[in-house]
Amino acid sequence: MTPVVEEGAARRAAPRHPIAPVVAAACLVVAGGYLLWEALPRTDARGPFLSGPHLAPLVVFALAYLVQQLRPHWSARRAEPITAADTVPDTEAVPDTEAVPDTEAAPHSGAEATEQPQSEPGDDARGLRDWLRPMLLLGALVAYILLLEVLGFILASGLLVVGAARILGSRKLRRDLVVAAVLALSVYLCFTRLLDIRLPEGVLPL
Amino acid sequence: MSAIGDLVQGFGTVLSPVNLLYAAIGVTLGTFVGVLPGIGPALTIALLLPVTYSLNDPIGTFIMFAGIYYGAMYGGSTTSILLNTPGESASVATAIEGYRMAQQGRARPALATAAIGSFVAAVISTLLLAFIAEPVATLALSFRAADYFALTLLAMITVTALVGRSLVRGMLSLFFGLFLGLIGLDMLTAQARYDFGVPELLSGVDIVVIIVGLFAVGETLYVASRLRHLPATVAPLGTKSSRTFAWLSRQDWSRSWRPWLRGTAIGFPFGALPSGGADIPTFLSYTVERRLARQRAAFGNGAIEGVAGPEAANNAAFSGVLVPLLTLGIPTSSTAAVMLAAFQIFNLQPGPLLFEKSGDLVWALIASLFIGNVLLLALNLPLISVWVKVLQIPRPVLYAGILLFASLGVYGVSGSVVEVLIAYGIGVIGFFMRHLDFPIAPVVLGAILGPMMEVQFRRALLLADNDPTVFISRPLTVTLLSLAVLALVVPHLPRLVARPRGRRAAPRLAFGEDD
Repeated sequence: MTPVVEEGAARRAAPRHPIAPVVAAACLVVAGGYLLWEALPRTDARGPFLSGPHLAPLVVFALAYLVQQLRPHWSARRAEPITAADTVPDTEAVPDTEAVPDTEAAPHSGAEATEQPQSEPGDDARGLRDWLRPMLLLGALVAYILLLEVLGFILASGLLVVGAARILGSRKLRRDLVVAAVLALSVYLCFTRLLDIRLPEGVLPL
Repeated sequence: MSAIGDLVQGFGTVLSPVNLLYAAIGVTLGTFVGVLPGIGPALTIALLLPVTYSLNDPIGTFIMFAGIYYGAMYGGSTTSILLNTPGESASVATAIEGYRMAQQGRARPALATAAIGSFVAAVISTLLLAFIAEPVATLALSFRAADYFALTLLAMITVTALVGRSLVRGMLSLFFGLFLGLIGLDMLTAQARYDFGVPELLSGVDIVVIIVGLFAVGETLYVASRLRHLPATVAPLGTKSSRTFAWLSRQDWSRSWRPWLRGTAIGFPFGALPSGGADIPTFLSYTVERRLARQRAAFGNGAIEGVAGPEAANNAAFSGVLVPLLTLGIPTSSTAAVMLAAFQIFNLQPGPLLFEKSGDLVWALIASLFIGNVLLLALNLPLISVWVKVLQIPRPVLYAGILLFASLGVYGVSGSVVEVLIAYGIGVIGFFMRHLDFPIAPVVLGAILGPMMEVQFRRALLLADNDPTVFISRPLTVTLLSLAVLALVVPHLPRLVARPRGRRAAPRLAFGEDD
């Protein structure tokens, strides 16, 4: 993805807090602006219709979202995004949203909110652990894919299953090891022998 | 009627031993993966796509996919009833009453009414599909590029505007999808767009990568962030009581059959129209049943009507979705988008010409929908204890396995590590989207419909010498475009009506949560 969004993802890694949507909105505006800027020089080359239509709305709606975050009660009326965004600088965002916490769920939750989005932040330590797990998991995934072609499918997959299960709260190492071994081996044999899909063999002689 | 003859011929194809085996494998795999909590039909098909790569028998493969398609649905309803973890938004309505019934020890009747209702709905709606599909395809032959543009636009807007609770969020998701669709070589001029210097991006982001990223990786990261909020207990099946037929007492049968038929009547048209698949009809059916129920108080406490109706609507909508997919080549739900990918693996382009070019395949597919449902009915209820075992797989192991299969799915398709990393990146974005309550389905539809829309738009302009009035010169185009505008306005009508009367702003119409 775009470097812009990746950077934004890192910055958003904070416990759920009224500021998170604002940061997300800022990221969207930056990403939208970047995409538009990327698209502009090409527009001249290929005529005005071609890539413009997809990108301008992206920016407009990113702005609309920002506005919605800044002025929660406006979302009921679908305010004009462009005029409003010019008048409201970014710095005002924080006090505004803090006055009305959890802004985005409130105005829109219709009559049936069948699955309540998690709104209780919990204490800080727990909240932090909530964010640690996905990050660890992502790290495990990236490590897996980098090791895949080095160690081979079976070893890497076995490690992934054990590691991911552990990150996800499993404390039964022996069970995980058995599951991982069986899963990795059977998938490997199924794919390579039955389906003729090549998987990295790696260091294990098979 | 030629449809009957074609259908009989289709049955002839399907009823060979090999193809029956494909169907059986399909329904078993589909149910197995569909039962796994958190996995909806779209992801099920996406994960099982690699299985098809080595098969060079398109008919057999599509028979298997028909089985997977419905198997994932049946499996999903089992999960929502027993675990209250709907795998996709279309099962949310089922979970409301179904889980209550299960808690009261009436899991068996709930599962039975869901399965039989699904069967009834699937049979009726597949018949409708068989009779409607060819006329629609003939009609679609007269569609021009401008009409296709308007149609894809309508499909995108209805899905985004009607599903989920916030239009702005839906639109942002849609635009993210449109952006993903822009990546790669431009289809008409072969210019590279947004490739960020990565050669793998030149061929575009595959829909399988997007779906695996959003639904498997994003979902698992989301689950990891809220482990302590998850329901962990599987509701007990309850005892078998005597004096029942197929687990339903006489009273259950009499309370169920009307909701089944009503659900089918609601589900099929909504599925066939570009309205985002099964989300709207299931909630509509739930609402209708609640209004019509004699014991309205029972709703919310495990009313069997509230399971029977939505489940029937769900399955009927699933057949309905095949109408635009097969006849126009336009997918209107995430699941249909993956089905389209499956078609494209075999170089088949769904659309009006599909019936002429590969009629035998289409009719075999339709016939296999019937066969698959018969197999599922036979498979689902007697084997319920097996599916309960699947539900009891410990969560950490389950999600670790999902991550493995997700990576494998992408790697198996592409053989490229970079593609897997792209899927992970999309998964991270999907995780934040879920965390901030953005709907996911518009991303998938944007990514698949966006390029289609762009090509038709530009083709229409090229054919008309860059004259923009081509989009307002044909009545059909104008009708479709105005319907799109209408879809944007309708959800806000209650509020617009309420305001002049000085009442408190009414909530926006919303149809369920998105997955």
